[in-house]
Amino acid sequence: MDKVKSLINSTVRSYSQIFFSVNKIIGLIIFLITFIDIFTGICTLTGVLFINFLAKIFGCYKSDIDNGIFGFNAVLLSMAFTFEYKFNGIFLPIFFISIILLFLLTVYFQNRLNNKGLPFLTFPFLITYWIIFLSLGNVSFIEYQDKLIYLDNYQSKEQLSAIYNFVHCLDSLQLPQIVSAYFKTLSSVFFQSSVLVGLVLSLGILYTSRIAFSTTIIGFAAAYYWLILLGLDLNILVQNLQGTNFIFMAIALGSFFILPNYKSYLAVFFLAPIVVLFLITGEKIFNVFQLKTFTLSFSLVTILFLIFVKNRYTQNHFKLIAIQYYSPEKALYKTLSNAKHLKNTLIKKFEIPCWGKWKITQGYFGKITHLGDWANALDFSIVDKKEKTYMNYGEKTTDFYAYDKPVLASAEGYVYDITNNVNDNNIGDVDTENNWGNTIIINHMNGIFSQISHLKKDSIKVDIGNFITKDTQLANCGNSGRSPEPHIHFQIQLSPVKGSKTLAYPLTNYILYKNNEISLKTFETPKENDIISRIDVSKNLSEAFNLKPNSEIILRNEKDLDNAITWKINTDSYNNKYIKCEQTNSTVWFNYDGAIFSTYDFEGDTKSLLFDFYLATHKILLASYKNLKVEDFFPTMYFCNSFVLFFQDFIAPFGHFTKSKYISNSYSSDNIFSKEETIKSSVANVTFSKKLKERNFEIIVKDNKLKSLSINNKEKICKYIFD
Amino acid sequence: MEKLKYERPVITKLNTGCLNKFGTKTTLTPVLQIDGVPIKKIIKEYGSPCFVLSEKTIRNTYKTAEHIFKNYYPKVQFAWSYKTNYLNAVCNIFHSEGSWAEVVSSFEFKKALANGVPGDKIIFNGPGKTKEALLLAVENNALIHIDHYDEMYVLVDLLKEIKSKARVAIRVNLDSGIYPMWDRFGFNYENGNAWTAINKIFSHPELELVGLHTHIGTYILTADAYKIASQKLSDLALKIKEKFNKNISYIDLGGGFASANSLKGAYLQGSDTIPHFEDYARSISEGLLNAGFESSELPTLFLETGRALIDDAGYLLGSVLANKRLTDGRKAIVANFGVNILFTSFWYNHKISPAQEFSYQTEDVVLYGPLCMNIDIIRENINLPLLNRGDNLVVHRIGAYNMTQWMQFIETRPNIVLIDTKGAIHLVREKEDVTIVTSQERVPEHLKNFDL
Repeated sequence: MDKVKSLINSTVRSYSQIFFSVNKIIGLIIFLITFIDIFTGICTLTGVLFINFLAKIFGCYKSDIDNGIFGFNAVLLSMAFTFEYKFNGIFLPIFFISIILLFLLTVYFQNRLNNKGLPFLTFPFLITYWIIFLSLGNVSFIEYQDKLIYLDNYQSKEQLSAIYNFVHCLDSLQLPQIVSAYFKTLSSVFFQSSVLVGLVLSLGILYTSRIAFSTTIIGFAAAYYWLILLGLDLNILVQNLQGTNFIFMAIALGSFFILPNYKSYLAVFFLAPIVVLFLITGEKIFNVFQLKTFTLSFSLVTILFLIFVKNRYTQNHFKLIAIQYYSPEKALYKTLSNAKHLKNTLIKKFEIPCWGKWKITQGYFGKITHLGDWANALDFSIVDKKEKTYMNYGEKTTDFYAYDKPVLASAEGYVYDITNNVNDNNIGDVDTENNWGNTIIINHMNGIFSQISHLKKDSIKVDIGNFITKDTQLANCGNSGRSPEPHIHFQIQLSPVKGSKTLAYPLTNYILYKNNEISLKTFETPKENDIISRIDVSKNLSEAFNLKPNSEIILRNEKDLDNAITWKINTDSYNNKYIKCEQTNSTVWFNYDGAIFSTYDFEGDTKSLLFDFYLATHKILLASYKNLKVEDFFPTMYFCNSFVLFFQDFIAPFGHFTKSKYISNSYSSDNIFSKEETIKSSVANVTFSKKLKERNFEIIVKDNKLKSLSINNKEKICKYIFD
Repeated sequence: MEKLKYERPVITKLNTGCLNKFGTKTTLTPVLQIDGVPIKKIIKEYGSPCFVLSEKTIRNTYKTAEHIFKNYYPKVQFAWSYKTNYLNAVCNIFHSEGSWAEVVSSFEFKKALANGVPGDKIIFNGPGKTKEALLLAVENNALIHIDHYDEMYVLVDLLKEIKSKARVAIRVNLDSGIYPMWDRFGFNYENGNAWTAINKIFSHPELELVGLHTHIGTYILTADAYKIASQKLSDLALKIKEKFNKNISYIDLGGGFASANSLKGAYLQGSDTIPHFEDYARSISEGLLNAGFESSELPTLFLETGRALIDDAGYLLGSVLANKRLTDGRKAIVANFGVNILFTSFWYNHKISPAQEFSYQTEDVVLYGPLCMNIDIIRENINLPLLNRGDNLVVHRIGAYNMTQWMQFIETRPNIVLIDTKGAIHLVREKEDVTIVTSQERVPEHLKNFDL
């Protein structure tokens, strides 16, 4: 069964990959279009099956085969072949040999370009075609298609056939020139010049992706505009696949490899004339050999632009799509929603280096001493209700709230260096001689170090070489070095030398207190004057959500306790943790760092219980704060009305009028004993600030274990019990 | 121009020598308002005497203490000591700030439950727990702090009887250098009694030992004592971990933090000698952090601080009933509040301020209460301006114990009002009258009528 499925997938997707998609509908449409000419259709199918067969027996990566990565060049090659050559005795061996060559070149280009993070596009097709054409193209035993030789004869003959009339039935319609040119350009991808084919293809693209559809229009319009502006012949668009260069380039750079936004659309517009230049130059060079350039311009411009986008010091304006979902919408929505979750891949997770509430008295680029190379540092101090850092008159160090408070490590590591020979200053004195005062440098490994300075003399509780965790007390806050009043100086650096250049690095998570409200911050750097604290993690919740790989979650519906739903927890090759439901073939990827549990991605059946779990546990703070609401949002395509989504897709690169919002709150009746804790979460689709759809969840955690999950969907409550 | 206030004549002894560089002015300042509410207004509306509580002060003090302790130690939980002031309004302020409840009788236990405190957030202390009280505690899953073996036996029998379990801690008494050492509560640390009790608890499957508790004394002026106490309790906790492989969830260091009241016989004023929350917190955290716990297994620190959190928030307003001269020549003032409602005047030299403007003249006086009892002395010697009958006085820092230890003796008890954070006045306990007192009385039939 799996084999049949794999065969169908790999075949159909080989067709749909031409439009950068793995959607079966568009694949089938293309498949049918190739059968306008039976010979072309059969040859193309043979080519696809053969190259996928080769890829399979020679052990190529299965998911590449299944996604049609090997097949789409074969589709193009087979069509180019059958367009030009007649079937005869020698055609077949040459065809198979060229597919073998194509396969070898595909593997070669895939290897060469993928190493650099680039796609191989249609290069294997182009090179195979050129080699075959140059070597055998003029050999006598190869026969050209009659239609290429007896052009007029053939056309008049063809016009009599029923198929021809059907395919071209819309050509006579009085459409604006630009519209019919658009459809014809689309159809020219498959060596046709038919409005109907173009229309069907464009509907297919629209069905698979609204964004890709928009980009084809932009790409085509740009080409049309530039050709007119440059005074070139518009016929160039429908000859020898040349017009398709614009369509492909538009999909690739406007939405497929680069995150779609108005900038990527603009890029498409301004890259169109460059494609024109490449087209003309290519024609001139290749004409010498009587070669056709087909999709060369598209491939070169795309690679050129991708290399440009990748190799910049600052990755601004254009953002490459990191994980390819073969859907610009999905990629865009998921990238927007996952932006924060992806930061979980940061090498080190730093927390506030002290207990309780502290104020950032000097933040990054602070005006006092956080200047130049030392800009990315944080100063912590304690203030009272009146924002004063001291009690009484503030004449003695002991008057300052920060003084003598425990200072902790911010992440695990080894104590690398200790300075403990600087006396604490009296208030008002500043020791510029020993700038950093008493200091501890911690090696967090992976080349990251943290420095904590101005410590109290002789308060250091660790030794060089000690392994410490984020809860280890290092020393007490003091007033040594360039410190006019007691505070903690904290910085991250890439060198173990005291006072190295600082590195901007966010704190993993912290609680922010502002205007009597508390909020959770993740992967952010606190700003000056923020009052912040560590998260007071609840052991109960933290243990319950510590889902370990190679274990199972078993749930039963409260009303049907005999049937168990089993989910498996595992890790993939990138060490991403996921929960898989075999029955529905759905997967949820999750992060867990002890303080926050988040399900950051979902693939599969949105009607499954696992999808509800994904919705319910999108971001859960594993600590009990009564008034703290954790907010987040889902990729728009999840939990959205499909009608609304259709329109949202079109404008997604520019903005959102609909959002799937998430809110959760954890509250316990008891935080130090293993007691019951309740997590309430909800997801709501908000369109034009109107709530269209809502679902509420309640998860109960007891004795360090998940206890139950209740789903309230339109007043219908389902309760599942965890085994 | 306002009519000048009459001030009675006073004879002041003329001292030769250097003049006081501050002149003849008194350092006394009139206290005209509490949290912006004029005292005269409160007296007018709620009578004299009258207790006043400041919600703002309670919340600020609590927040300060919590902030400081949480800067020193990662896991801190306060439990409001009901006996210090169990007015529901006061308790609920503390509960709304996150405080649990610490009770010492079934009466207080029921009060906490009625206030809406979940049973598992009630700590049940004290040496006088009856079987019924223990049953109430077990049913509500409270934390029971065992004081003596007999209590343990009663509890175990009870649990066997009802086939239940209980979460318990033991009260430990120890030598922290404080004199007198309170050894009447709990099991002694130094002589090994506490360790024996712990072993006994582990031999009873009905009991789960979750905490260790001590309360080294009251009005502790040396913060170091808490360091010793926390070290000794940590030592027990680590021994338990070693022998029974059980992490103790919490260490409860009780209360005893001093308030800024001056104790009788103290040379310096209380506010100059008492340790700050900072000092207590530092000592306790040093004791716990350096004890040798794994950083991920630090027990939660419970604190049952009462006095230091509430004393400053309470005021007693009263009036002068009379001026008189004693036989030895001293002047005396009779106020309308006595030891019946100001119980703490047995221990403290309360700070008392006049509640209206006055001239610079002052006089040393004895301040008596209104009771017809010789012991009713509020201050044996206090310097006050020249007050007339009807003038008002404010007694400061009386939030702790007075509203629980007061007596219905000779007089009925007055109103208690609370000034909320926005300055509005709320009556939180209505004054008693004779019917309240007599309503509980029963007169036998044959005594009901008499001919006089």
